[in-house]
Amino acid sequence: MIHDEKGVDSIYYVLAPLLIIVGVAQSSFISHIRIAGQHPDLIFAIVISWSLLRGIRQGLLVALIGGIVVDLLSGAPFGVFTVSLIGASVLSHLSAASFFRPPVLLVTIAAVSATFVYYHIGLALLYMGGYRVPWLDAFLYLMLPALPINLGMIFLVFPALRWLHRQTAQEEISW
Amino acid sequence: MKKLRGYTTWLMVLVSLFIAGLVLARTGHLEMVEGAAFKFFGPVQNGFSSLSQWFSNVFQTAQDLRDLRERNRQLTELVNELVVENVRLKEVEAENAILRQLLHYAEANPGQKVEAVEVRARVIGREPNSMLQYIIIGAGSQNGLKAGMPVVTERGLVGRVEEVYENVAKVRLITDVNSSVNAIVQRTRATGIVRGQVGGRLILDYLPQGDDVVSVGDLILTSGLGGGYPRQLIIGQVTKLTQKDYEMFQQAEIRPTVDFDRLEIVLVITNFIPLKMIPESVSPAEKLPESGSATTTK
Repeated sequence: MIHDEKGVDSIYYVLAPLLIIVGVAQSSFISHIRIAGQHPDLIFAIVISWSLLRGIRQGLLVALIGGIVVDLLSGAPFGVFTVSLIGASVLSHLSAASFFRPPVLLVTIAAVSATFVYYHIGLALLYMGGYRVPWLDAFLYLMLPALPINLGMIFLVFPALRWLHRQTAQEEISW
Repeated sequence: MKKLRGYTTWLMVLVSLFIAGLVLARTGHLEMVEGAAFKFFGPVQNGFSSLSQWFSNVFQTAQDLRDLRERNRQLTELVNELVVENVRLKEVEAENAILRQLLHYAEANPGQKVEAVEVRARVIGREPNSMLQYIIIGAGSQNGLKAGMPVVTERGLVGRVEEVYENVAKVRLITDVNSSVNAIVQRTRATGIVRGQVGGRLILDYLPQGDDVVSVGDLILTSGLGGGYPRQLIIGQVTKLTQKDYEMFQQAEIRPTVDFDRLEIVLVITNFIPLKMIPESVSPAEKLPESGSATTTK
């Protein structure tokens, strides 16, 4: 497989502060940016990109840190977005490991499938927590608009993280 | 001795030359010599003069440049200070305008004890995910905030405090999917429930069927029913109606009067506790005083 499991330590020094900064930014000035009623989800893009670049172990670690950051800043019950991001990270890794070899297609499929999993897990957990979840509206007005936005964000974030990946590991995915 | 004699000779020669020159000058015989000398020395003198002038100019220019640089630095500093001052004054002016409006709100609603909370959205924050609609305000239990307190601006209802920490609180906006507010149509007094929708829209639901129950442009206020919110807070204006003959109720789409994307300062109505959140050991009279003082703090 094209992933590399080395360089786990570097994540603590680079990605953890980055995720905290991005989380705060996402909660403040990025939240003013709206595309089709949606806020760009940078943390989601980082988690999926890193999962594709570094594999399941580091993907889960980044998902955990990013999820905790989002959960702390969110009004949702604690843990909802941590679990959702972990699910999305696992799925993106599985799609990378199992099916698609051309990298652009791989990233696209991973982004689309991870978006659906992320929203479904998040909404299901909210539903279980007693929240009202209008599934059809959520599909039409949340998930569908989020697909191109998340895809665009991942295509923006992926090259930057690939550079970071090159600095801290030997093997990489190229596209 | 020999040396002294040599000096005397030179001195006598010089004095003789001086006297001769004086006599020649007085008699006008020296002009020709002088003219020839000036003819030779003039251009040289002129050249030296120009050169010295050029050097003088160079040094003067350098001095001027140094002075100009210093002056420029001072003026730049002054401009920077004035720009900062200008920005600060504009911010103060904008803040004053908002606080004046909030003060009018507090004066117009003397029964509601309100605490103005400055919400600097850039610093405090909003919900980082599109699934929910929350804001984080910069006041918490230290400011007397409790869960369930309504949050408003001078333009209308914003939402309700959900989670309170020492210095911050999370406020669920009325546009959140899980928000529901008992509402009344101001013109017809018909009641319904305003619910947030995915994507931040507002729907007035459970309105009785009928042609004159609600119309586009009607103002929607809180009804106070259920004790969740105080009465007569503005929610929004009807923009679209959805009537289906086979359904028991009709719906209206509402445009909120509050611009949720530009919230800066909100008011928390601190003397209003929703009925369901009042502990049984405390009587409603104790929790809901008849008249509360209107205090506005930043």
